[in-house]
Amino acid sequence: MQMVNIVGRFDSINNVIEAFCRFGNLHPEDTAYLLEGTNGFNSIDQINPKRDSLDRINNILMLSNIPTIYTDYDDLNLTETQINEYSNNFFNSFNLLQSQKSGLEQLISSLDQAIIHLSQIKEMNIKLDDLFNCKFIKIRFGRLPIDSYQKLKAYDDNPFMMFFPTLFEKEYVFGVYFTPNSCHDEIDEIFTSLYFERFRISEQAHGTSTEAIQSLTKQYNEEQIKLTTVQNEMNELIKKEEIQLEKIYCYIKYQYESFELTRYAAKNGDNFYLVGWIAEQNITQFKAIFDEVDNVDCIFEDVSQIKNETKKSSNDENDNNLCIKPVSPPTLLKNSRFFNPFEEFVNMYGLPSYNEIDPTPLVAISYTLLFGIMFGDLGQGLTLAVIGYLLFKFKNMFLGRILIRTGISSAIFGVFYGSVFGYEEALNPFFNLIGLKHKPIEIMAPENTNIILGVAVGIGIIFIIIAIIMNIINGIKHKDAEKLFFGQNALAGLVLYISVILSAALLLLFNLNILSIVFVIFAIFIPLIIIFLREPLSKLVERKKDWIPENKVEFFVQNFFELFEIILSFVTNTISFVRVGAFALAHAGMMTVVFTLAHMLGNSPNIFVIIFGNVFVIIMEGLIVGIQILRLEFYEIFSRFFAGEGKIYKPAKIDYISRL
Amino acid sequence: LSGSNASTEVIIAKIHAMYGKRLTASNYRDLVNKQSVAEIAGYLKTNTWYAETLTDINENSIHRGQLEDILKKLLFLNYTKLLRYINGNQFEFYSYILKLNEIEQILICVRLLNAGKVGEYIFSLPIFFADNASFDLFKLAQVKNFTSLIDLLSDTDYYTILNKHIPNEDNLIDLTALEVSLRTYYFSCIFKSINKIYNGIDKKDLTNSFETEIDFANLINIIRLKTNFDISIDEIRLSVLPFRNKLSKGQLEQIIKTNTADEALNLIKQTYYGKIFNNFSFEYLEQYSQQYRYDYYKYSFRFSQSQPAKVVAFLNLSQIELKNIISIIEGIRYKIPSSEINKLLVGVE
Repeated sequence: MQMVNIVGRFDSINNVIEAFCRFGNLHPEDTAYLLEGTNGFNSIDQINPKRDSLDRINNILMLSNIPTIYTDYDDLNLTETQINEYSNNFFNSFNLLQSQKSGLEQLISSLDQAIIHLSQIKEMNIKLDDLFNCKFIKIRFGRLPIDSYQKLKAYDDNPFMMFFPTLFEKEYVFGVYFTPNSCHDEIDEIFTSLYFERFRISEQAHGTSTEAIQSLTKQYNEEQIKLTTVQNEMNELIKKEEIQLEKIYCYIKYQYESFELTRYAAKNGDNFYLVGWIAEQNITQFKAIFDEVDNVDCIFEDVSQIKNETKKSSNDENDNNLCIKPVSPPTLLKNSRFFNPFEEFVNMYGLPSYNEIDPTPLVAISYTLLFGIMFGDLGQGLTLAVIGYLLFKFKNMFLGRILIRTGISSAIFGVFYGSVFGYEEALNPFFNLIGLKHKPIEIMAPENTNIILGVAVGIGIIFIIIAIIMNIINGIKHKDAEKLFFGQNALAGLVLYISVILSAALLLLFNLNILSIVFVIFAIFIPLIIIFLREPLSKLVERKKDWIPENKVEFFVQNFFELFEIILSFVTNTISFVRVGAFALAHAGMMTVVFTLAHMLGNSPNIFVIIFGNVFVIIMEGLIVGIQILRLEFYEIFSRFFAGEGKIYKPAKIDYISRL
Repeated sequence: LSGSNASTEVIIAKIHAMYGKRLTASNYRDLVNKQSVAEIAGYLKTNTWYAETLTDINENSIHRGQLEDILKKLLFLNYTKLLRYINGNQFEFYSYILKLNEIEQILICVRLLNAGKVGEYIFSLPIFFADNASFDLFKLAQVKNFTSLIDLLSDTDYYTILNKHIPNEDNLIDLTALEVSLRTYYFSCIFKSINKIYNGIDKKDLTNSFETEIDFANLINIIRLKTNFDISIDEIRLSVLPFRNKLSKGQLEQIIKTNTADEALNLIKQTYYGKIFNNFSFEYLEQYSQQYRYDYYKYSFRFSQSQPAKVVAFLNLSQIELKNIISIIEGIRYKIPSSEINKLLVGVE
């Protein structure tokens, strides 16, 4: 990773932004923040001039249901004024149709309500016009929300509040109220405040109720046809203008986001200064693009040159000193296709710092291997792989890609265990064919139980040693003496761990005792003392003057308990891997239970129980095993070498998809 | 599981399920871009969990107030749903929502009495709450003056409080003083029930939750009064609720005594709540207060070990969501640009 310092005239900044959007691989830093404290440099905090235009086009796209996608707008030969004119014209035409549509919807809705009302008074068989032309009373048809209907009892003492319900629905009560001409204003106001929705039947319905229903139904059908026509016109308008609108959106979005990107720069008078990061392999391409930009200089600095302390350099244009705050480079993970789905697991814990080992390959190998051991079944493994493939193909889930790998691993170990969907003897003919008397690993044999658990612990020991070695490598990279020599995950810890494990293994397996006094002193006691004194020792190596602890008693007590915890963590971390073997046994055990249940329901095994049992085991145990391994990775392995304090490499790009 | 543990698990699962249906940032973004109340109702009806109550409404003819009433009703119904899972002995505490609603109704009625519009109470009367109130809301709608209001409440605890606030000859009730008395009574009841029913982490988290709410309400109230009203220090002192959590008596008194809102703000910045007021804006005072409540209750909802504290947090978060929707409805009704409406929203994520 290289730091690039871009300095230039402020009037060229748009060209710079355009160039680095085209380049697409520059991770910009908030330069104004980095230069806080340097005279003359300010952040760019004007309001984005394209904000309103973007709001307008976003609104148009949203109203017309056009998705925001990237469309090449190079051939959009329109000036700002023409774009505004075009947008306004479209908006007006669309709005006209939209208002016609809502007008028709309202009319249809009111016709529908009128038909409902008239159906309630169909039996009365009176002329509606006579009813509405009464001389002394007014008649209002409509509906009240059910809550408002209940409120009417508060008007029991008002003789002019007369509401007659005709139909009760869940949320509304349909009905009619009568009011004398003399006080209809007051009564109407009360009903309006109670959210009475009036249906103006008098304007639409004439003749008897039956005749009116017939005529309104006819009108209802005609209006429905009109509504369909308007909807089609809207669809056609959108279809016709969709591409042009998308182009305009992309053009405005580009200008808006470019302005937002300029905020990464700091301004000093007529000049700007921008700091960013690029990967080594992209430098040539970067130079080629930026050579074409006038009035701009680019200075590259290697990460090794950038000290983690405030640096000072001279600005050519001004004689002010530049004080840049310390900034760590972003991390760009690069892994092969097999490993890269596991980057998500690493990201869940934290991203590696720039000069820290990326644990993804270790996670990929250990996760795949451990999953296979713990969930070994040819049939179930292949099922998981197929499910994984489908999840990846149709949902693009990273977990799908991991399932493909772990499923295949499970299938391979399933072959060794001779297990296919829980049928433990299914592969026997195959083993006989290749000259084996029985399957390679008999999980359920009682004499194998201790071996399986022991091998699991052995695998754990190997992973813990690898984790310590990785921490030592990180120590070399960081030039950190404690990580390299003195810590519990440094050389001292490695010697101690290997010595104890070796002597225990030799004693238990071969009855060979290597615990001589010399061995104990050099391989166990001295590493323990070094770990105990790790802080003062590393300070001494770094030639710090305060290497002797101020409060010696406190130092002794604190480190004594810490040492105790360190030894305990070595033991528990190692024992923790027993679960790998235990789950291998549990898996076989659970399938035995499934088959026992299948045999209990009749003379021949019940196929539905076997299928259900397999599905249950795949889901439940697959999930548990997946989580348990992740736990082993995070607690037992990562905690020894991985800090995960890096920041993600995020090159500046124009995001055309999100609306804002 | 023991009976009470089982009920705890059920209620926690229930509130998490209900919280899971909350409006998302994309829902809010769509809502603020709507052009009318009808469109908002239509959107809520088709795209959000509010559909369950809005199914039968006609969005084309719905009135703004009607939509707001329906949403308020839904909030209350959610509360009553939760009550089904509450053990009997805890009801005394959980009835705080009922008290809050009762006080709200009394204050609405008093405001209308002061404005001479007594008849209008019926329009805002929440039918959904009528059966749960300890007095007859329909009779509240028929109240003609303060005396008849006191008579109506004679069988309730509010009687003694209202009796202390009988208006002078001008017949205007001192609304601020009455509000402070009622809220003091409300919080006293809450703390009394917490002390009676709970202990350990439940008592600690619940007390902290309500006391923090009071602290923050007092601080915001002081700033509001100093910014918007020409009001004496004594009057401000009387408007402060007599409870404290992370503020000392001296600190509060000093803040009250300041001459301007800026001076008060500077003193507040030196208190426990200082950091929160670092980016304070006088313009969006209400939103600022809501934002703090949102952050506090969201944290409590996620991390509190106490079941009742989680329920309180959930009820408050639901109320904040309702306020957001009401802000959008009113913003669109009064043609406020969407960028301005966005500033009124809290907890959009």
